[in-house]
Amino acid sequence: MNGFTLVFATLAIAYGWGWWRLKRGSREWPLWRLVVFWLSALAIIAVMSPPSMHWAHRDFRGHMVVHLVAGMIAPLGLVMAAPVSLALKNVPVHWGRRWVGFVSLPPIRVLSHPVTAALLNIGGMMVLYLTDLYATMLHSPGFALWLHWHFIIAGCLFSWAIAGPDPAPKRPALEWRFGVLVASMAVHAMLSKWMYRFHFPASMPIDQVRQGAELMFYAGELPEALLVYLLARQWMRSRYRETPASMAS
Amino acid sequence: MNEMNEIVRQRIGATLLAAILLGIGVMAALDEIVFHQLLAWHHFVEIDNSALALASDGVLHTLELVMLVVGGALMLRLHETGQHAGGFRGAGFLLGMGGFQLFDGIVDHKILGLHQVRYVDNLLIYDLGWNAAGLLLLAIGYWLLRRARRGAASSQR
Repeated sequence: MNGFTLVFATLAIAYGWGWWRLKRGSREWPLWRLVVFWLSALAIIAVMSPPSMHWAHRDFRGHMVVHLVAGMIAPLGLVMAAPVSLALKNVPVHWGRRWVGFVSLPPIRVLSHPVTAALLNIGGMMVLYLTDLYATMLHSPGFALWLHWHFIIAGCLFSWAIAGPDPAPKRPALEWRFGVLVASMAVHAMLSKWMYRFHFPASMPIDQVRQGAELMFYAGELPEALLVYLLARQWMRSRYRETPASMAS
Repeated sequence: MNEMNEIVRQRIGATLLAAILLGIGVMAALDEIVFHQLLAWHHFVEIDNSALALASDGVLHTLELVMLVVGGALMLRLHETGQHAGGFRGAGFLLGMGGFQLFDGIVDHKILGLHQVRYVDNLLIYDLGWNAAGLLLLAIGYWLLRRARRGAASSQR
């Protein structure tokens, strides 16, 4: 059993336990959130399993699939399942104040700022693909392991900073978060086209790089579009309130 | 007069904006699906593209996707709260479609030179057809807009 399996299986069990405790106490917690959390945890366990990792190690397309699942799709699901809110409902009230105190700490606020989160995400990818770092990673198991954790954590951080449902005081304005999201999507699209055209990472065969880059462009767009939708819903809800007439109808 | 008040309380500007965003997003998606993927007249990346051309291509593509999703979220919200203005949806949608087609034909194909409509000798015919389609959509959109301003659109009667 590898570390990813251990961590995400534990988190999935903990989430299920919290969900079950609320249900038993007849306090509702949406079933879809449990399903989304479990599927996301399962997806990470699957792509980080030995067969998938071997494929990702040999083949750039495999690497890209792992990146898409572990760095974009699964983190979005983990964050949208609101695990912190669920945890806080299961513990004494004063823990909520501690959480708010924790996320209000200056270093945490800097780290979870959308700009920081975007730089860690897309900046990390630019360094990995456009420099020799990719070849270095293939020859250094320790660095590769660290990099995969980086993908997962940076992905969660980004989803959370942009549109996370968990309590976060003094969050940057919606317009700011929206701007950062659009900018990082543009860089993602641009990077994948550059990789296709100029053959990055250079250490991998051109056919694999091209198919991987197309995968990155098109499949990466799905979680991005979902994130845009979730943020746009929050934005429009705060901008266009229910009117008495519309509530009556 | 009463009818005018009714229209004013509905958000004409926001409805038009949502419809235009949706029109742009749908036309861009159609362009990508029909011409890039089904017909393969042009490709994901053309061999002679510069880094800058690809960057602008990436930015434009992202904006198109964002417009589609945000336009959808805005239109959904306007309908949820009953603030949508009938008659302006179709007008805005066609104006957005035509506007994108013309923008794509002139800025993307000619000024930025991202790709051509089709890689053939008599390109002029393809360019004229492309931009004429855009103008036609814009003209219908404008006609619908004038009708909606008069309160004569079918969804206002």
